[in-house]
Amino acid sequence: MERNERNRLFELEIIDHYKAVYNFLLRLSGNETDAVDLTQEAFARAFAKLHLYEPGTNARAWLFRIAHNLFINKVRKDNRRQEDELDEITAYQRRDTSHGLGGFQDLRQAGALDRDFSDEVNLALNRLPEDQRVVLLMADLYDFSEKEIAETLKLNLNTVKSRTHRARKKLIEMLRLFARQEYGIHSMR
Amino acid sequence: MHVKSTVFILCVETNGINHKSRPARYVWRGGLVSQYLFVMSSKNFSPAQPLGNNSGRNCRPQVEVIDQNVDPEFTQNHHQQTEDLTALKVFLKKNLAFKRPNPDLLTKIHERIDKLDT
Repeated sequence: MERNERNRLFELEIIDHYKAVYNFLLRLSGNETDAVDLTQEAFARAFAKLHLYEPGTNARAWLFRIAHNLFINKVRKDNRRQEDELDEITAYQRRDTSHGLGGFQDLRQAGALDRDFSDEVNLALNRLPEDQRVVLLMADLYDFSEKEIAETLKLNLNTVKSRTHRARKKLIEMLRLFARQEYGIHSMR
Repeated sequence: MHVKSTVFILCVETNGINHKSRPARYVWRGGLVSQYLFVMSSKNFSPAQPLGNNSGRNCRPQVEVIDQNVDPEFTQNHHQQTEDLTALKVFLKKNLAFKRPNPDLLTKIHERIDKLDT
């Protein structure tokens, strides 16, 4: 790819997503300094690897993959452990058959969700394991389909389903705890 | 020759895993297709199979829903689940609102790229 062509493609399809990538990394890392550093790094890498990007395809998904990989490298440096694929499939097969949103329904009915939960949601999000946090963010904040998440993160579709299910369930459990502690709201389950 | 057979599926339970040996479109997930009435048609006298006859290109069954005897409990649970999921997404978007990055972030990105480009 020629230099001018590369610059033009970068300006036309890639750079516009810098705010979304920054926000994604901010939620993923829970830390503004890391988000700023990783966003710069992600775009530098995207520019260097621009020949691998197919113009007109999902640039945001491509950038999220780069951003996520950079974040993972950082996490690995921090010696955090990752669950492997086999464990995920086993977990999916053993998952409970409920949809896992029952606790959320209780919170809705108790009127807890009308209050400001932003601090609690951030806290709960940061307490989720990284592999669950990323799928939850992509599925519920950025509306990626499970198939798109699987393709972007190069995961098995069932792994994505399993992680999303468990992430939502854990997040809701934490929110219920916060609702009880902060606002004295007791849900039924 | 066109053979038609009618299959009334009371309830299909699978573990939700798409086995590689079976095309995904023939895998019915538990709950999603309970109590549906199907007409399955196949060619070349091949009997229609509940999980699809994929022995050859020309005898893949076409599955067509001609009636839906939907389990009311299933519909209610499914509706509730969809509603809860939508509410959860709205709730998360509200509480994880978009944050505007520092204005110099774009400048910093371009500086990094300029270094690479030279």
